[in-house]
Amino acid sequence: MNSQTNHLKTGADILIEALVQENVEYCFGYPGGAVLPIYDALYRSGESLEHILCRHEQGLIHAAEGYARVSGKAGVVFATSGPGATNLITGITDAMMDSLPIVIFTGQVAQAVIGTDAFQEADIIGITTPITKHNFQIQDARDIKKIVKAAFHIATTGRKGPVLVDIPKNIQETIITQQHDDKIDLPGYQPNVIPHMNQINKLKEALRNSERPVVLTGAGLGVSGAEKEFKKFIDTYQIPVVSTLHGLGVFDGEHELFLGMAGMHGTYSANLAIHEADLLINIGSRFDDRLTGAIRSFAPNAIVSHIDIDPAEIGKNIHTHIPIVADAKEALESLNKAHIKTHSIGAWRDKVLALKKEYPLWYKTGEELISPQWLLEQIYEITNGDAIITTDVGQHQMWAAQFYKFKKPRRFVTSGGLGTMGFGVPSAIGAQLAFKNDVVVSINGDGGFQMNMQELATIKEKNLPIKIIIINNEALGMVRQWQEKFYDERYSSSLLSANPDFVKLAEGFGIKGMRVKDENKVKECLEEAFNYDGPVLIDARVQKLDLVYPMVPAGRGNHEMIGVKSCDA
Amino acid sequence: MRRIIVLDLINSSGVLNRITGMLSKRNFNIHSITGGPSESGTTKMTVVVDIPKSLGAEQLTKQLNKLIDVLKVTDITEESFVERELGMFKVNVSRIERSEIEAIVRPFRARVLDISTDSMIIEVTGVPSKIDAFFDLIKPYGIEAESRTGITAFTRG
Repeated sequence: MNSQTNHLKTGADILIEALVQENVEYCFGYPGGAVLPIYDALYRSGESLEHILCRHEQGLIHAAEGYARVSGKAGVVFATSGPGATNLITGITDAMMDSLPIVIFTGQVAQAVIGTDAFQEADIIGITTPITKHNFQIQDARDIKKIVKAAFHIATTGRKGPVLVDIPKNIQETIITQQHDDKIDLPGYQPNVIPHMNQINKLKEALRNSERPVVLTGAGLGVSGAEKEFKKFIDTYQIPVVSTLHGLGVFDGEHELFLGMAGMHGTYSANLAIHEADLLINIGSRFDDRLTGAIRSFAPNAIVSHIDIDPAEIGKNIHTHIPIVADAKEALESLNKAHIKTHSIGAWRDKVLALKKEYPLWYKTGEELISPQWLLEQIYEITNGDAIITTDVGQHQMWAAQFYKFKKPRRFVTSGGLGTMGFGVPSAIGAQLAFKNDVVVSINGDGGFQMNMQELATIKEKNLPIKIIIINNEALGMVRQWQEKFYDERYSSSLLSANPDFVKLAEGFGIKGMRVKDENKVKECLEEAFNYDGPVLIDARVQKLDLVYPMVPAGRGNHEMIGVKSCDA
Repeated sequence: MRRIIVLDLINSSGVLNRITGMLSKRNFNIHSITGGPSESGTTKMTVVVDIPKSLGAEQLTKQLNKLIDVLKVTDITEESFVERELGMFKVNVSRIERSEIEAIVRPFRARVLDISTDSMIIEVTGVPSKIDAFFDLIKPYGIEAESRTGITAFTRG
């Protein structure tokens, strides 16, 4: 290489520079033909940017989601054109549903052959338009920095979400001699974060008049970093708190006023509190159907106030009386400024706290195999409730939500909106990279684990000390549960009779594998795993027929839960 | 429920796809869509949408506003506005029927664009109900082809 070529920069070099400017620590990627110039630039750059090679594009985007969820920063993804890009689709949709800031860079065939069905060409802009917050195809190499800046801005502000940047191969190879101004110019994108004072005053008035208030914590509250402001608000007014799946941890799960998760598999007290409330203050939840159950019987007596950064979420599912478009932190700061003289809500509080005590979550132990719910409690204890938990989707996910009492926000990494199986293992990779010194536990079903188990290789390569636990009931447990309850026990394709030997599988990847079947051995097994410096996979054999209870049957109201047990019974 | 929405957009590639994609994703049915350059260098689009009652007009405008390339969304349905649509019809008309057709064309201020031995092409401009009325009158002669642009609209004043 002569000295002159040393100074010439390509579009790919500019891209890497732009990522460094955005303080990107990790990019999760998989190389291929249409991104070769980018991979070459990465190799030559010597920058601090670390590339994480996952073993499948679905794995890498879930890893980026795990990183984004716990760190609050953008997860960055590289994939090649065609199949590389289309393999990302599930993860992009997942990030869109759960509002995770992800910036995806896909290679594209050269501009000269776009539209000719060239080798590994796919219309990724067309495909991802409905599943991204926005997408760009770079048409002019001089715009690279400007578009990268805009992509990060859109992904990480307002209601966060995935943004895809498609880069034709010739743009990556273009020698850049001049660049366009990189000033962001997005006149159609002005997210509103400051609440309208009239609306805040209306909420104060409603709070003043309320005798039975409840606060619902959603993901948006955690994303805004408002846990201190929220705690102050609750400390002041002593209002009972319920949560969505993604709101878990924003408020201390062990706090007396915390009633637990509401919704389909929530606690009876959380659902009853919403049902009987006269004021429901929703902070950053989008009133998902898994939370609301049948809408006609959701919070039937309540004035509903909804604080959300996305105006389109307000009134979408639930009629809202006091809409507040704002960042949760800004809204809480406004609320905390004034002291509101409220009614005495002591009687109401006593009532819901009595419900919490009387109808706790329950399970049975001492049967042939391990109780899965009890196992989750053991994991909670051995990690002092401080671990980052990632899950897959299904029964184990609900048990994790019910029995791991998160104390801090952004510690529960789970696919809520899309319900994506195969999420649990790869998302743990991103979470562990974001917090290298924290304990990361990946809880999976035996079904979902097998959807992205190739990522064990990534975990081994990076020697990430993730503790992977397979809650193995030899079934697609949630499907089996619905078939048992609503399809007369016709277990159509839900029993996994030919699972691999998970311990040997782990060992094949060079990862320590363990198996436990007996409740008496669980403590010892967990201690060994958590004391081991490196990744461990535990195949935990659990009771095959255990169900997630309580539950709201489809189409019913949340007050009509089944599987509720009084502790006196 | 039919709503008339006027959009001001950045004319970026794929912007039409973003709008129609969002509408179909949210189960809004597009009745008509027209667009073109506006005075400010942006693109102006008029979309007539059928909205399921359960969703409501507010969801429609909010979702459109979320699109990054959308600068302004105005639901003019309840406002006082002027709307125009253009319809073109190729009608089967024999020589002896021509004068009958012309008698229909005149009061509608429609225009005959082309005449051949057994057909005519007619253009009519106006509110959609006027075009419907014109269509009903010429239909008995046999319509060989019909094409309507969809409406474009301004608020008054």
